[in-house]
Amino acid sequence: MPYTVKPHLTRKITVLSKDDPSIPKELFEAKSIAPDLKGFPYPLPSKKSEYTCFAEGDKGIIWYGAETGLTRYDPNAETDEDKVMYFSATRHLGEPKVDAILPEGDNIWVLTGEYVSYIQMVMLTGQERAELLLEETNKYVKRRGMVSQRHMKVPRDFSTMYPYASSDNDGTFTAGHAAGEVFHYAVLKKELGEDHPKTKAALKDATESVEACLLLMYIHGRPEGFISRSYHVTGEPVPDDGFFYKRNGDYATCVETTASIRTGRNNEKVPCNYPIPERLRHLLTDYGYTEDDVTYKADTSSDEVSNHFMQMVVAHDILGEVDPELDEIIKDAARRTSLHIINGGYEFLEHSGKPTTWAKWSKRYFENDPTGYVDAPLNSAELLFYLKATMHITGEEGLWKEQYDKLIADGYADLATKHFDRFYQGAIREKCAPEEDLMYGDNMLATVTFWMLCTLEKDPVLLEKYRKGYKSWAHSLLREHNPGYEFPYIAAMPDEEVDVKSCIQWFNRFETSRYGAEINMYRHDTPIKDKRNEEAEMANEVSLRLPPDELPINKYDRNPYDIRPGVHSPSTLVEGCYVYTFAYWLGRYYGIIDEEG
Amino acid sequence: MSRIAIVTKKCPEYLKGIIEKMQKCDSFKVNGLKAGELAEIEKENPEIFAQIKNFIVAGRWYPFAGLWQDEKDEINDERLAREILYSCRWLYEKFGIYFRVFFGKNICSAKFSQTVYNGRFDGAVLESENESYWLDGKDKFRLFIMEKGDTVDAIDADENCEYETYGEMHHRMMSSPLDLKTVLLKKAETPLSDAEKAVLLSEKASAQAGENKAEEIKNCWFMIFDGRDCCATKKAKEIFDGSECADIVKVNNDAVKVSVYKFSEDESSVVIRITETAGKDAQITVMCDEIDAGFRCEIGPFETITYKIDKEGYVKETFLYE
Repeated sequence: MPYTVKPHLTRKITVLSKDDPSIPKELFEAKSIAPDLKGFPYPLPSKKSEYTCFAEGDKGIIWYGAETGLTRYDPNAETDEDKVMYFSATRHLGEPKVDAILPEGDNIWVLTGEYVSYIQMVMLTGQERAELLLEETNKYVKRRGMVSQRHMKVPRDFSTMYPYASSDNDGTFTAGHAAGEVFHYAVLKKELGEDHPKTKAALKDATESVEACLLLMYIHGRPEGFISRSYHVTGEPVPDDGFFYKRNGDYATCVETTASIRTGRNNEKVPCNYPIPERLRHLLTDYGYTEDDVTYKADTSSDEVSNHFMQMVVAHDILGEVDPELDEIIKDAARRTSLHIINGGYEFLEHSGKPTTWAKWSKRYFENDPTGYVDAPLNSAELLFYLKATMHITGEEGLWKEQYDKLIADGYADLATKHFDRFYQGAIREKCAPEEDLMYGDNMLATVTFWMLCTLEKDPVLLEKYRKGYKSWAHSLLREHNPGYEFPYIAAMPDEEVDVKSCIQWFNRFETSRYGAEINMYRHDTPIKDKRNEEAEMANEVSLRLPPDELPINKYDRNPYDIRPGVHSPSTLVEGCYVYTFAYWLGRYYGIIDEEG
Repeated sequence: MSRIAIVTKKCPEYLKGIIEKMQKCDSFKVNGLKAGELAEIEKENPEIFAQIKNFIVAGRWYPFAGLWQDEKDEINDERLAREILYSCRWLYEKFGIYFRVFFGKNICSAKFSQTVYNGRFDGAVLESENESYWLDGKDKFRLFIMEKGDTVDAIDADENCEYETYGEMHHRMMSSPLDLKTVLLKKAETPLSDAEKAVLLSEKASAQAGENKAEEIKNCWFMIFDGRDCCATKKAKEIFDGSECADIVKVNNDAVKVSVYKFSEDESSVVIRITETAGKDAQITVMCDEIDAGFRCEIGPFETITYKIDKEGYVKETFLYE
């Protein structure tokens, strides 16, 4: 270590209507001659008989057009994965069938039906990629500091972005983004100095993201401490997918949705008189809103709690000294959340006293619910993490240590080591393969929980248990070669063997836009797995981890092997960039990776 | 501990006694008889077979799935794969059910966990094992070894008592809290017998030449299962008489071998099996121009993967019974 991230070719895609005047007329005059692919030395993503045209670009590159997409062949590339690259509809091409191609240096024009793609192969460093992704996120995805995703009205037309968005997990995704930007700031501060304009810009981004996360912990106004999943303001549509509370004065009223009617919570009134810290209010007032414009989303899950605690630890450690006012809010938020959980019998409670659906860390849940039985190892570790984090952030022991010790005595640390056994058992019970039964969102939860626990815990006996617990997740975390999972693993478990080269290839093959149009996963060179349980409604998967620029756009909570069309990001969506920037800046911060030169 | 009634014989008088008990009491359940034994009964006593079939389809008679008939203490994993292939397909064709609990005498092969798991079994009952545990291979595959329970010969069982099938017992155990020990599978690999080598070679040679000899190959394996190795070798040599044949499937990693090339049982595709032999994760390419196939894949340490390649060259990663 550190491993070097070298500059690498990155695809930059522009899709035009075929009557766009910038398109060279030679494209429409190009002759299509089918290539002779007999004896081609590598697997091809389309069937050989489907290739209808080919042309040579610069440096010996050959482009092949087929009925199912475009193939780029570079016989001199370092890896097999880079030798044969695949471009498909609708993310890279307007339509699947390639009618004609016209190379232009390293780049290529591609005619597909009514569309023309201009594909540029641009040499970029890992950092340049991170910067371009952040630029897109800040411009098109971020809304009042939150960075989940946003839709556009017209596919591919970024000028038609809706001004609002909704997400079930704004806190989760924004926390990942915030942590990445805090690491970004820390790296630039070390390399360029505190006063460099780039460092200052990074600090501004990092601070805004941390503030947005913290706002979710206060925007509900509940006196007992709570975390909102998300929130909307006046003029934004409230989706019908959960429980929302509209603030008005000292009370918030549950909005009519299918869920609230079904459960009888419709029109429920809850207090919202706990003030939002003035420091955070600007995320509303800067846009002309006040508390009474807010409708927040409840029924918060452990995803939110875990990721919020993670970003609070990171923000406290790196921004705490620089921004003591922010640090005081972080401490208050940590205390209030932990107290809420303790007072709730280790469950996150709605104001009515009922637990939320997915934020339960009690033995009651572990021992009386089949899902709780499988969740218990992760959830027990999560609760230990929250208390450890609170002690770390506040510098206090007292109640937090008392509860932590009580949980240890109650077997929570031992329970944390049992994930693989229980998860495997759960998969067998469902008659499916463990990979088919994966809840992908849990991968990130396990990552933040055990990474943090292993970093914060100094007692060697407990640390050994937490490392064992982290290892019990290795089967699912490490199979994707995703640095967002692998780098925290390295940071927490420095003696473990991890395939960092594959992680660097992941960075190399990441596009600089998170525009989420479809990718063709039915390829001739990639096996599809038979499902172990044919009756279950699970994904059919490819059995090979493809590079990110040949995969659907996803966050960490989705299955990257899923081949079903239409289940991934639609062609009107732009996702936030944290999947890349969190991993990249964490890797730079911990010295796992560095840039060439 | 679960009470399990076992059918221990296949002679007609004994079976009639079991059937009578099952007809007397609707809730009486039994386990037993392997695919090969059931096939024999079907041939020699179709009326008895028809009655047994009704009980199997109704979920009251759980066959011993996984092995064709006789059991040897140690076999090669490819031999085990063929036992699973032919027994499971036969059971599915006759009863429309994939049975998910393997039954055997003992841990009989070096990659027992992996091979049984790839036969789509969710657990195994072994006569030699009295307790439940996880059996982990060095190939990172895991198999649930289920205790055999409190067994009684079905003819002696009190049909008014409650008995479980192994399928029910498995489901009950998987739905309950478990705290099992993990046992590491340590068994040396059993080499292929001369007969097994001859059959695999003739299967590969004929399939690579485009000749579908699936039925003849199956009969060779049945001869091997019956202990008639000489007959199997002779039959295999009638299909292909050479001592070796070149591989048309190329893998770009010396540690990954193509162990099987055959036609699928439904004749729609070619089936290949590749095996990693160095104990390391690998990303490989597999090429076969003759069938317009070429694909990339990932394979784990000591892993064996079965691929089905259709007439268009599209590839599926699949289970053993193709």
